[in-house]
Amino acid sequence: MSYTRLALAVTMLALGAGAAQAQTNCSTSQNTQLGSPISCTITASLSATVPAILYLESNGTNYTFNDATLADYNGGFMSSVSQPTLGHKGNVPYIVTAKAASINFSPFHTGDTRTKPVGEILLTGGAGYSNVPVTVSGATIDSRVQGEYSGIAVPAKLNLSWFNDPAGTYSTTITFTIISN
Amino acid sequence: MMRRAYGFLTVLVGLGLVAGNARAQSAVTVPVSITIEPVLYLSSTGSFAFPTAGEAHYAAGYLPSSSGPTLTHHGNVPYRITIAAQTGSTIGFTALTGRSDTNPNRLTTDLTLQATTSGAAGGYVPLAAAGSSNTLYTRSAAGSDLQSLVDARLALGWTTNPPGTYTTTVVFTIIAP
Repeated sequence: MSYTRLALAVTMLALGAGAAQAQTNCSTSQNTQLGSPISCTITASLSATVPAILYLESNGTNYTFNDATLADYNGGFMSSVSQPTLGHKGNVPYIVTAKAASINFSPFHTGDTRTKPVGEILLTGGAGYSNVPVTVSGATIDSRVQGEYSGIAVPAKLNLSWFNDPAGTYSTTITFTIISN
Repeated sequence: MMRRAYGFLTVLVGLGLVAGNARAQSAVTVPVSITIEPVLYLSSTGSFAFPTAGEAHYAAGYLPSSSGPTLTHHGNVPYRITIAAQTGSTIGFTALTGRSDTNPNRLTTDLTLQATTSGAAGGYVPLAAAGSSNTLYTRSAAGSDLQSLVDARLALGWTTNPPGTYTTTVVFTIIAP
């Protein structure tokens, strides 16, 4: 092989190796043909990773109820007068659940053996989720496709029974969770 | 007769001297033509990198690059640098492992690039689809080396950008107007 042929072969190999990589420099002085455009190009690849993201917030308001009245007992429930307002968003479909820490309310009357299940708290969340009983495993109170939603008040009702619910203070803590579908 | 012959020879020698002096003083012109084509140069070092997107990025509406290439360029004529996708009009998408999110087919214009040259930011310019171009930087006069740091933003929306890896290749072109 002559030196000329050897040089040509080496050049071709170098070009072949470079083709798989981004071109990082160019010069129009490489344009030797008349009429060729006065321009040249380089390239840069780009890659960005977006994970599944869910977000949940509360305005920090706790549930409060007025003292139960005769009318409340007659009606079978009492409604919260203040409640948290939730905001949630996700880039994937998701649900929001509500759960209580224990299956029953904290003891409300010393010596009384009756219990009041947390399922007697009924929450209203998103569309289609009205008066959902709270559970310890998590009851779905909202379901959304990906998007951003805010200002969603979650009012509560507490069932009342003349026979089962003596005077006292009923308390529990509700935990809201956002979960991807 | 001899005297006339010497006299004739003297005249010839004299003429020869006169002719010789004329050659020594004559101008010689050689045509010189050097053609200088417009010359442009463009190179890059470094590469684009992005942090993993989070809620704050969605709230801001975009994911900014954490680093980008530095372009070095010069030319003997005014020039500009344009940007375009290497292929297609949408950004490539690959769902994350274990997920089956569909390709949102986001347009290349969702990716905007900015060149900061000598401390001056040029503003964000959308990435054109392959086959067209948008101007990233314009230099109105010929000049020696300048460096432009390029950064990028990927537009993010809760309903438009499912989880996944978004990819494309940017073509930078230096071109004389």
